[in-house]
Amino acid sequence: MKRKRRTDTAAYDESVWHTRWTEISAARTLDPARRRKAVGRVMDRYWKCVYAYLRHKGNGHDVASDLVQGFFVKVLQRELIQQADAKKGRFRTYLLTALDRYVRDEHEKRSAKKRRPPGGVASLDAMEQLPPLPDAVRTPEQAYTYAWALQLLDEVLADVEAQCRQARQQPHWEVFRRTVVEPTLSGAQAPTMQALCEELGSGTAKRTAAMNVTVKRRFRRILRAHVAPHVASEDDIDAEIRELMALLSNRNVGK
Amino acid sequence: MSSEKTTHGHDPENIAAMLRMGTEADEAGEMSSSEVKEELLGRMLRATLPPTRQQVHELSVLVGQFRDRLPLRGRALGEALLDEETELDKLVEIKEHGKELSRDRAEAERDTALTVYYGAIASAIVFHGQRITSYSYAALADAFGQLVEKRWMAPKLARLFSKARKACEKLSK
Repeated sequence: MKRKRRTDTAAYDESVWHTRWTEISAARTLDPARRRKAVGRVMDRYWKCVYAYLRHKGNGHDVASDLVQGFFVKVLQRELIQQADAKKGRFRTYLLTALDRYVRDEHEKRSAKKRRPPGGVASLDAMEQLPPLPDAVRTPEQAYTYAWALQLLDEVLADVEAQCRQARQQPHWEVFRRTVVEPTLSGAQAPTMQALCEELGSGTAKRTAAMNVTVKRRFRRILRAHVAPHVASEDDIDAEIRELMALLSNRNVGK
Repeated sequence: MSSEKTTHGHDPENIAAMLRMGTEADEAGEMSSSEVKEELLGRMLRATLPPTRQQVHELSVLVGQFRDRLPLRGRALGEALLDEETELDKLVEIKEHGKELSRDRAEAERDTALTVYYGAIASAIVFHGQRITSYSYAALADAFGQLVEKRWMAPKLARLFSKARKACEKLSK
């Protein structure tokens, strides 16, 4: 199975400033072109979570991809959008609840052809190329959360790297990548600050450590900025991150 | 990790460990002025336009009668600036908002507010082909060029300024 490359998905070019609930509100517009565009943003960003969830529910690729298309057609038809309400809380939970309802109501009701919108909403090839989930992901809800968190983290890391580039701090990014990202994600041995300092020519070990602190702050800021649009208020950011962590760690919390 | 790669395939516990950093307090260490501006700009771009006086008046009436019908928070400024469908009058409003915020402020706040001000002008030029300021295209090209180079600039906004600069350079000839 081919590794999915981050740049394959158009959604990554979307701005972090797109407020999810605002997009949903925008999709309520009666102007079909604007509605399609607003819903398109939501679809581009979230189809992976929906697909991962459906596959873990036991659906084969064909059925799952068909249901993904169908789910977003339903969104396009505004039936789900009209029920969306920011006051209900987190967008992640809203989407999953809506998906559950859709699958229950629509299960095998229509032919694949009827469900699929003209041109589709996400490339079937892209779905086929998604790598398998790790064994630790055991339930459909975990699959959904896992795909959600991956998307979030991919976007955040790309933005952190882009901001480092803008700030002409590529060495800072490199220090962060080697001492934080790779060791945390892959268990790779982190080089010592002294070794990195010598390799990158970044002055002293103390200065190299300070570079790392700068990017950690940037990571934290950008992560929180990416989570903010998915929750009802800024006060809920910590709770959302903690719940994601708990779900990923398979602790017993609600969906 | 380069932008070509993805976190796919990593253990969920490890993904959680990365997310944990988002909830931890920042480590000690003084922020540079560039970092302060980067943070301020991020906050400003996530904020929404304040309500107009007319809206405040209407809301005060609504609050009493329809508390649960109050509008959801509006679009983030950053989103509005990068959306080709943002109406021209809204961009003028954002420009004025940026100008207002820049008055009598410390350097960091003034610079970030002026970024919003010029962001609205750039958006109007790039997406509508309209100049919503009396500045000449040559002056604008110069201003956008300087903004693109700012280390604290949001990368997506830097791309908008870069496009606006090119458009202004063409138009000034």
